[in-house]
Amino acid sequence: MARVARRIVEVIIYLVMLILVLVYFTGQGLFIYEGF
Amino acid sequence: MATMIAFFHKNSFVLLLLAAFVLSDVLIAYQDPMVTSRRFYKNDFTKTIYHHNGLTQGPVFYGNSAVTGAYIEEESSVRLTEMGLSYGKLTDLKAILEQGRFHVEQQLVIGIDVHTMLDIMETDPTYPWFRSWYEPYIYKYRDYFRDSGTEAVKQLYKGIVQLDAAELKRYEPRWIDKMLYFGHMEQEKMKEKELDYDRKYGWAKLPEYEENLKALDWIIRYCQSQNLPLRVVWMPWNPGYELPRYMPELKQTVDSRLKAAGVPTLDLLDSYDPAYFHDLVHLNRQDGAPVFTKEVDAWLASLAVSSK
Repeated sequence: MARVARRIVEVIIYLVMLILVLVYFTGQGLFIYEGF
Repeated sequence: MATMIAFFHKNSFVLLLLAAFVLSDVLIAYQDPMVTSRRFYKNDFTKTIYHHNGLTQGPVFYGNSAVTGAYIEEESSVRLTEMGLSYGKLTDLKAILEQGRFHVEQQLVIGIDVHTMLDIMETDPTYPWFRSWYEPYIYKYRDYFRDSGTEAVKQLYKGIVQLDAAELKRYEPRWIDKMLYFGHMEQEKMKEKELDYDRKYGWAKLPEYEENLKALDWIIRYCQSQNLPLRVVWMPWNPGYELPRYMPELKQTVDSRLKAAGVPTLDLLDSYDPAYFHDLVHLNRQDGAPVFTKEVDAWLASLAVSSK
């Protein structure tokens, strides 16, 4: 049981890290329309 | 069976991580903060629906920012849903109709200006029809998550340091109104814009608007199949400046297709005085837009009478 709980915590930590890497290091810059 | 269990056991971490990522992405996409949360940037399609209380059906005046600037929905007697989208093209309208994102009823009016048919023109990447089904929501809109996430983290820090609960959740609501055009742009800037347009698009030939011609054909067929009256307005161009080089050929090509399909057109391309313009393609709100709205209203009313 403790092993499963530890595995779930690990997955959550890595998931957050994965999302942070995606969001903060792969961006192409904001598009904000300011007239054409 | 035993080998499968062994495989899952051996790779349980990676498989669980993948499942957690997919599940969290599906949940975030279902919530769709790009549409529902004021913490996130809003594109013109989302703004259109927001300003119509979430309504996704009705008569429509579709086009790009030239339509947004020129058509005053509140002053119109026909009350079409003003669906001017920044950088909007016919390929976008096709995607909207194809994906059922808006159900057009009664009539569809399309405003075509010198940029509406150009495949090569840049666009707003946040329009929802650009997201493929396999593209993770978080990845597609990562720049906007970064923008809003950074703001949220800064506020959390500020709230904790100041011991102020209100600061924790404070944020700057993103702009929800569309760009309108007031007054007159300076001559110097207008000249710059003319040169910029010519440099970016002046060289366009048939291959540079082929996709939009295909979209036009598709829209004509769609309207015929739905018994939906289709009308086209050629949006005004400031006659104080030279018409883009590609326009005569493009206009002739589009007009011949509209004529063949029996689509009524109102040609206002060169019928407005420079005094009515904010710049090269946008009528100004005080002088040009009211005149344009009345003219379109009268034209649509005359079509309604003649079709009875």
